[in-house]
Amino acid sequence: MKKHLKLNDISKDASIQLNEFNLDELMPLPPPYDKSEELPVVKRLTTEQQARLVSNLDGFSALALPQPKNKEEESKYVRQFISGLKKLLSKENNWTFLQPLLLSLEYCARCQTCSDACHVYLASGKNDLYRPTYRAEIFRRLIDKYVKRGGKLATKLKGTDIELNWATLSRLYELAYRCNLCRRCAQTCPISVDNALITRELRKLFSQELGWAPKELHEKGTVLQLDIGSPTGMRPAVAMDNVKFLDEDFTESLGIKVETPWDKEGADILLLHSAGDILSFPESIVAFTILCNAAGINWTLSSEAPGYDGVNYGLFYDDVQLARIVTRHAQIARKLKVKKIVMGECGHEHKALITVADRLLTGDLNIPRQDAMTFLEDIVFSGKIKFDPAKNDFPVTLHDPCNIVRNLGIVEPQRRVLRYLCPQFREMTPHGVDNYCCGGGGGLSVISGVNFTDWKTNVSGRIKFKQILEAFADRPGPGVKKYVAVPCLNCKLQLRDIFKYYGAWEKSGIRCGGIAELIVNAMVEIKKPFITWSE
Amino acid sequence: MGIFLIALTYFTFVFLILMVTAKLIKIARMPEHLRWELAPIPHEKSKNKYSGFYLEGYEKRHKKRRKSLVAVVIYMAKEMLLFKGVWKNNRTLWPFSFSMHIGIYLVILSILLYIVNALLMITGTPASALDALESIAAVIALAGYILGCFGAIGLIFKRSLDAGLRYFGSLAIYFRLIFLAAVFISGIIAWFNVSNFALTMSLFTRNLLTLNTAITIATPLAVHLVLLLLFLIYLPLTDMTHFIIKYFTYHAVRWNDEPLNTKMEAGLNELQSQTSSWSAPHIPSGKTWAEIAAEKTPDEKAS
Repeated sequence: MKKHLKLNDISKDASIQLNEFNLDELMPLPPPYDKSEELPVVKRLTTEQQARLVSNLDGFSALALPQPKNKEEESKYVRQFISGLKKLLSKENNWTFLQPLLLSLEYCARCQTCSDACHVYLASGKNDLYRPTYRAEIFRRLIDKYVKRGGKLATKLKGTDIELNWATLSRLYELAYRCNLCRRCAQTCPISVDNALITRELRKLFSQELGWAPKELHEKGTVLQLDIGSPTGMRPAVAMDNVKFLDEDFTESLGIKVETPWDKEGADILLLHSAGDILSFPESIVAFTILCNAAGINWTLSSEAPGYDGVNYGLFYDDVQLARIVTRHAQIARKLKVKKIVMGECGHEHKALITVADRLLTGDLNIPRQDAMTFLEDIVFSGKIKFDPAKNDFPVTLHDPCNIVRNLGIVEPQRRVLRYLCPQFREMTPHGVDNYCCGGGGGLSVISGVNFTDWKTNVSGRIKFKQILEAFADRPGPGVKKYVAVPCLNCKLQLRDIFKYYGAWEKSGIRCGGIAELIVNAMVEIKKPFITWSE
Repeated sequence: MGIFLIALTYFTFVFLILMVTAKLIKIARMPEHLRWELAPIPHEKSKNKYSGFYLEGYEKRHKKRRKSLVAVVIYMAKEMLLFKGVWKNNRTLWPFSFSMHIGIYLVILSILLYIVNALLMITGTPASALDALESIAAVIALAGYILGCFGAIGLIFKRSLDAGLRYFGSLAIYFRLIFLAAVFISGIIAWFNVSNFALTMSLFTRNLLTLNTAITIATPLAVHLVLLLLFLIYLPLTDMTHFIIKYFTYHAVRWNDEPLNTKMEAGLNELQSQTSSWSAPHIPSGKTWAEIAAEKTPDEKAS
């Protein structure tokens, strides 16, 4: 019989692992990926790592939190956490999300309607630990007990008492990064309670009060971006050199002039790519350059840090870092005197700059901002470029990044492009605003932790992989090359990890890339294939 | 008993209205938050089929937006009357949740009919003319009590037997369901033990409105009324006020996609002028949100 987790199990014995990971309990995948014994072995933490790092949740470590030195240190963190709880509920410290947070804290009916909407919970074989409600309900009860007047007595009477100790704290920290913040749970809630928001607020408390955040998001993420320009580590000169190299390389290989304008004052458009694309998916950068030039757009990139990297990991864990980065982006656009900022193919950049920042960028910082999907659609249907859809005559499906589709409601422009240019385009099920997250959302795609990639490929990315396989079920095997169009860098990074783990290229001929690449691949002017089908 | 029930009823309704109003004011006065909308947003005219937002039409976004109030009403009606979300995503819970809520709606409707009846009585309408209304009220009340009872008891069992719900439940949740079940059961008992239930309720309402304490209430009905009134006093102290708070969870958060405007901007500038006291090392103390967001990082200053 399946053992169920209780909410106050979280506070029990900090030295033991709360939940055991078992591959055989996961949601099954279709053949040839259904034999777990044929998959790479899931990395377990070594004895030395377990002694050094906190590993008391599920056998995975995303955050590599060091073990506390002594009881005093544990108590200090608990006190800081309680202080952070109070700040989350104050107008001065959390005006940014106070109303949505309080509504989601106070009015959950505990009906579990959201659980079956969560891809992590479903993929895990319905493991209680990964219910959207597990961490959220613990968080609610801690607020009830430690922040509200008479909370200790009231929670005892209501039977909702949970002890806030080192075990609770350390497990909650790790558990805050077992959610993709995709908000599919919130979408199904009849009362519109948002447990994903609660997860983000929990991350925020750890970051803004205790100074705890995954190094990939903070030290090597937002801090690095604000310091030198990009979490990739590329300083402005390096970013420019790399793009110039790409321009030259593709000019030679494609036989057309590829040239990127930099720091062009008064341009109509400042294009804000994710700099990670320069390193990991350079065809995306080049494709935008080709399209903008071919369509006669007056555009530019910026070489001022961080104006060449549109990512904003603050969206995932920290309002202060979020605000700093959107402000810098807007300041750079203002300085260049551009008419608008256009996003690259990056989901969270869209949400951070287009909607969330809408109430941060006031005055002359409120520069118009356009998404990549309508921008590409306008180019494709402008009549300025000739296309031959037959050049894209291979199976194509579309992944909907949660931040562009579920959160911004930009659903059809990218579909109109794919339906026009890709004769074998087919949808996943479900898709559009009901899509499933790739499993890398909420910043998880860039977090590798100690052995966290194995969790992402096996659990959080499982349903997306299953969806992709099902979308291509009529064309199995590696003989037919298949393309997953993914207009988001973080989603592409996650899918690349998944495809590599399962051997999807070798077994099924599946790869992923952006939408801009498909558009360029269909251009009549370009004689050589732009998509080269390398893994 | 008459004076006690009349006093308790007035107290209950005043308390209920004050408490709910206080909650609404508290929520409404909360500061403007960052945008956090979520599809589907039904007021998006012409994009409802696939839940697209106005952002899809970038070049048109600064022109007058076309919103559909009808679509919002249809969406909310499906949610509030049919519990579409629970039906779609939590089918085994739906029969009980649906029954309990519809039971509550019917009991509220029957109370409204008693009020109408009482007003007609006060204005001197002949008793024979009220018969039809009383019969309708009686049927609606009984249907409400039975459905509510089935739903509340079903939810108690569902929450006890379903492990996914049991471990997330609390004494408070069971208490309110038992309380609600007691209200419905007492209603059924009263309905069958009072010779003309709807007429008696209408007479009680008339006396309530005219402050006439000269009324005899049979014990089963008195028990039901006391339980009902105590429940209404308890209700605003719990999260059961979600019936009205939903307005904010939907309109102020989920569907709040209003672009920045001048009025909003003034409030936001004020909020950003507040001093933050977060303690993490990357957040300087004693500075406002606006100062923190705009400050240059050390490396940039050096270069």
